[in-house]
Amino acid sequence: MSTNESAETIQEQVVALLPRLRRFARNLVRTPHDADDMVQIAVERALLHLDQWHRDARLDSWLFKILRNAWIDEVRSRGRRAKLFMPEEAGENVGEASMEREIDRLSVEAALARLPHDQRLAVSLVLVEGLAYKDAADVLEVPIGTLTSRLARGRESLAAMLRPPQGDRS
Amino acid sequence: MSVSDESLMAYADGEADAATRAIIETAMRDDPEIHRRIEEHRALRETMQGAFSAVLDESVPQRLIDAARGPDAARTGNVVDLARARRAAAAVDVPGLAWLQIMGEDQLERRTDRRRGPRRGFIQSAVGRPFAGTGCDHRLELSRQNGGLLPDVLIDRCSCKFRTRMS
Repeated sequence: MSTNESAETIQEQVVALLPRLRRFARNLVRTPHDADDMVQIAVERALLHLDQWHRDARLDSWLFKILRNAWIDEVRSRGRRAKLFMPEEAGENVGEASMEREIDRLSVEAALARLPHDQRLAVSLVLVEGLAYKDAADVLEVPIGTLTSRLARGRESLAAMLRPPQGDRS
Repeated sequence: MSVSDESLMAYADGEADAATRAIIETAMRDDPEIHRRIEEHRALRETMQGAFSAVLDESVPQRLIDAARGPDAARTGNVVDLARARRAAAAVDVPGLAWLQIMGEDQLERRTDRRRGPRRGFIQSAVGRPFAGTGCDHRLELSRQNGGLLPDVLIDRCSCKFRTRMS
């Protein structure tokens, strides 16, 4: 970081990325407040280590990586996984959204939450965040072959969980 | 022709190389099943994006914006400098500051270490919002009548582990 001005520019880019960081966190942690806590932890870490970000690297990928690491740390250190995925909390904010859409959304969230961590991360980064395989592999610090394998298995499991029962298929 | 599901997935995601694309497009003409499987991959992608798209339209909490703009930005808001607050506590007996002192350095350090963040960042968090992850609803707020120096403690809804320490 050469000047305060450039640091401020990056901070504003981080602000602009907050909606996507929140969405990614919501893929990992279903309660919105806990998900926002993860984002805050990640952002604070990122600002502490801005000197480690290379300007030729994508800022969003770097932030996703920090968020992913923060989530793994949290799950490992606090053993809170069960608490963070309490399904009864998922439907608190139904609001005025149509019930059918809400049920669909909750079904997808529940199915995603049932995937193993590595598959959930691959699915979230590629299918939800729209990252290229190369960038998603970079975030997860794995070869592209590993990423595509996790993605394929995650997709297969999701498709099976979200497929309507045989009797309901039209 | 047999095409692997990973190749079809890559094709649906726009990640297949030119050679694989040519093979799949040729195979698709002869086998409608391949087309169906590609459409399934695309549909799942749309489903996943749709399920979480509403998050992008939500208002971003101010605490996250403050965190992204760093300590300098937050310092211009409701932030207590601990050393300054302690100097004030030495001169004035204030319940909120007393609690901060009871809570002590060890709590602050432990919290800071867990998040690997700066102590200042934690103190800002403690002042500006409920404690993350503790379920605690109490918070410190600056007493504007005292020039933003002396915090009050709101404990009416507090049920966390700190309550006994405060009462």
